[in-house]
Amino acid sequence: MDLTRDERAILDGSRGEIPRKLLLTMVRFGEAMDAERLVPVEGPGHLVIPESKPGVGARTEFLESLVDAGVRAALPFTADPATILNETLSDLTDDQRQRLARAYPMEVRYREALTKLGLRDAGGLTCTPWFEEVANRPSYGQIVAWAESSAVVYANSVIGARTHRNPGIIDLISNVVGKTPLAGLLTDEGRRASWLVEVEAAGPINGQVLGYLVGREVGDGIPWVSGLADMLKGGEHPASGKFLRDFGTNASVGGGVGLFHLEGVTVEAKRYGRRLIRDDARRLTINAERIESVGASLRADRPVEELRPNKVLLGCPHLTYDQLCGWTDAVESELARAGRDRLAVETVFVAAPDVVSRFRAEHPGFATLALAGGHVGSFCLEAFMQDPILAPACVVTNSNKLRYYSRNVYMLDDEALLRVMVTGNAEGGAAPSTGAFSGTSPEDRA
Amino acid sequence: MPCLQGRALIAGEIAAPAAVSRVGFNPFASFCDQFDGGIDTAVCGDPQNAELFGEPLTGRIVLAPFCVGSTSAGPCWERMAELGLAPAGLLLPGDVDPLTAGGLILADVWLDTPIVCVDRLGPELLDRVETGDELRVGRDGVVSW
Repeated sequence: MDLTRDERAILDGSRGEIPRKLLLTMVRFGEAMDAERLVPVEGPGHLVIPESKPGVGARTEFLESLVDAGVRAALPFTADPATILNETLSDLTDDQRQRLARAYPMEVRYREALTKLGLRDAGGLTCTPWFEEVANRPSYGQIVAWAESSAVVYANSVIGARTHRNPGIIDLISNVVGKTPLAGLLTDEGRRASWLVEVEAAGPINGQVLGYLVGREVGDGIPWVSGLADMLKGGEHPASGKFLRDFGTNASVGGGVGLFHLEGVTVEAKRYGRRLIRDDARRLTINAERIESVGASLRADRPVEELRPNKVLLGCPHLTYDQLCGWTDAVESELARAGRDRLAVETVFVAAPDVVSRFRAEHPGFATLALAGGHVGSFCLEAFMQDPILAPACVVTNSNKLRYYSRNVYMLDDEALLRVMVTGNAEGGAAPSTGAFSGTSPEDRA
Repeated sequence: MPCLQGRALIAGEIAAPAAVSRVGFNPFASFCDQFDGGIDTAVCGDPQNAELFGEPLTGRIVLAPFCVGSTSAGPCWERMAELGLAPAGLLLPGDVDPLTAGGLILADVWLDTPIVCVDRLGPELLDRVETGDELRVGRDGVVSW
């Protein structure tokens, strides 16, 4: 790599051991990607390491060593959802709380260290930092150092910002060093499509299913996907924001997609057209039967009556404000229709803390939901399900990401989930969905 | 003795049996329920990986077409190295992805625990090596068996 005189001096130890190792990490990370050089990070970061759990977060001693060395990010960063330690889940037992406290003995020190290194505030603990309420939204073309797969793929594909799929801890190091390698997704050439995926199916198409399928096929390639522009009305359809979030999240789950282009929809596809497709791009055709087949494989493989779910979890990734309102309204209607005032199954909705604050302040359904036994929180459902102290025996959800990374999690469609919440089973006729409770916010349209 | 030449991203000399995945290897899904340690050997816990699910991975050399999954891969690789439960090495036919590279570099730089990684070994890698084959990896990125 082409290093500056200052960078060479730091690597020689001119500023001490911690700055040397931080920069060495970035240089070796860059060399792995054949980077030309390091370039400045231009906007606030987003980190995937919000909690002290080993293997999920950084080592607390490591963070504190950076603090002791006087390291701090120049721009305040956001990070993925916090642990469940401060949540008030109604069915969390005292025993579970005590075991949790023992399982996260470093949590207070960890958060203090992360704050000293530049964590913005508790409102910024979400996997959807670009939402209007959170306001960590990079601009088109801006170079940032983000992690969290679903956030990275959204920032690159829908916003047109430029970030690597940074792994946890590298995300922090990039932001405290203030530099990231110029390679791959940060370059014009590295953003060209390596796959041409032609979708031959009439809409509506489930974004989660198609994204997961594309990810499985292209791995860490960059897909150019045609055949969706009419369905999404060039990104102007009200459902396009949700589709793009679902598609990207699941393309990164199924494979390692950090950037996709949807012909006639996403920002760079519109701006540059098919010039973005590499000459050696591989081709893939996906028809309706294939989508249906994959979709069926993701859905629960047995009836709800047999599953007997003891929790409904919604919000992986975190819900938008409109989704939260839509679900609340749907729950209220369904409770009234069923002549009930309590949910039959413990139901948890999660969204960014700033989104929840807005919901609490502006939407009358918040109180109704609480009275009915619903819980609105801001923790990470994936972490919740992976925690042996917390994981319920059986969960139903509408998130393929949560299903993929967890055990005993089953996918249902929204109408079936609504019936399960209210009646405990999936039978009977829930009010027809208007799409409202899976709706989109204006800010996340393409 | 058949051999392939790749790029030694994390250089080292190792000899160990292969664990071959024909689908993308997901480190987080493979290891996330073993972060508490207290075990001698980590096994692949990713039910989506039919070939490696339940297979011991500690001290083995993992071969995969590529790695997939979450950006949590960084702390994941570092944690497995810290616990002494990581695979001895990782071999890839194409370019290593940033998530894997970052995690392995963290373990090497900050824990001084290298997980040997050779990428760019070519597509024949996965055609010619089977699970259980004894592999040797040299510091120069030569893989032989």
